[in-house]
Amino acid sequence: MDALPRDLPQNPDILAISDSRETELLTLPIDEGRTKNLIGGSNIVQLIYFGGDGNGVFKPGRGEDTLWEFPESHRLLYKRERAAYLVSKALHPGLVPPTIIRTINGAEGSIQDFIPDPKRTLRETGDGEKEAVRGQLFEIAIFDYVVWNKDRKPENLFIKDRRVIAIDNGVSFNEWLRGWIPENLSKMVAGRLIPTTLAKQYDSFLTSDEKQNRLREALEELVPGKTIDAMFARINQANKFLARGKISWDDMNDFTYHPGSTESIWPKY
Amino acid sequence: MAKVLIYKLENDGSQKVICTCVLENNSVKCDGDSGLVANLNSEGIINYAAETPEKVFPKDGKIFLENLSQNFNSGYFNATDIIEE
Repeated sequence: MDALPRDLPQNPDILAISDSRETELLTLPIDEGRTKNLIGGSNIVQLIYFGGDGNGVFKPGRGEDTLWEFPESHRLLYKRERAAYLVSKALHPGLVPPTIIRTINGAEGSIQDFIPDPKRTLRETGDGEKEAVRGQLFEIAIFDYVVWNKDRKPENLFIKDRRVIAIDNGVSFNEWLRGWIPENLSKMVAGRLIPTTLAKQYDSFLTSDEKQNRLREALEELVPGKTIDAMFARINQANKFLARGKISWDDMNDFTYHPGSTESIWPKY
Repeated sequence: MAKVLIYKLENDGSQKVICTCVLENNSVKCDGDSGLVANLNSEGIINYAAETPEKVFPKDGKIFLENLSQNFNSGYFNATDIIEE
């Protein structure tokens, strides 16, 4: 158990930086001759070049490997990538790289800012950096709970300049795994002190109708409304525990898919 | 022989094989990047075809191999479909 609270890195310019990069990802010309179709993966993923202004990871919607068994839960992953970024921007600034929706050669998809030379969480970091990021692993667990992402692993959790970065969030906002409480919570949250900044960010968001309405409106263009309702219920649930200052092992079972809902946790097909 | 390759994306856009998972006697053996292999063995991966949530592990054999490409498709780390040789 942590003896001292570890706060999150604070960058007052982070939202301005994100907005600026979003605009660039939307408008910068793409060097199409250098676009690279990446080998592997169930979905099409491309590395695109902005001609000297960095790279982007492009996931076109028509390149997704849809699972027909799940009508909504596993489709439109590229929109869920953007949705997860918007939640990050509202509650966890800097956690998810800027991600936008753009059409390239007739294919609509998500473009996420490419992270060069990332380290894979604690595995590739030195002791000094591990201490700096420990509190951020708490943040990741809460974020994944809020967006209901069950696919977190070291290979989609990077460290760059002492900041934890969460990529590959396309399976968030799904309903398929409703009965499965995220494992990260017990590993990274239970029994640990809560970063002060995180509690303040959630409190600030939930005391602002404007911020909540703005996020909801943006998400309604991307993911089903019922998954947004469930997400807001989870934000409130997380905030309940963040405000207390500590989350215990006994609290883990309260981190459900839709707190307060009587709907079955198992999908009907 | 059935196998899956897991690639890592380099800054220059090239991809390097960092792990190979091979089906041997109804179980999968993964070799390569030690951290990745350790994580696959201890944490498993999600079986996206299951009706109820479940994780699968190398010891589960082909079902594990079949799900690697769904679990590793970020671009930074991509797994191939099963390659039959």
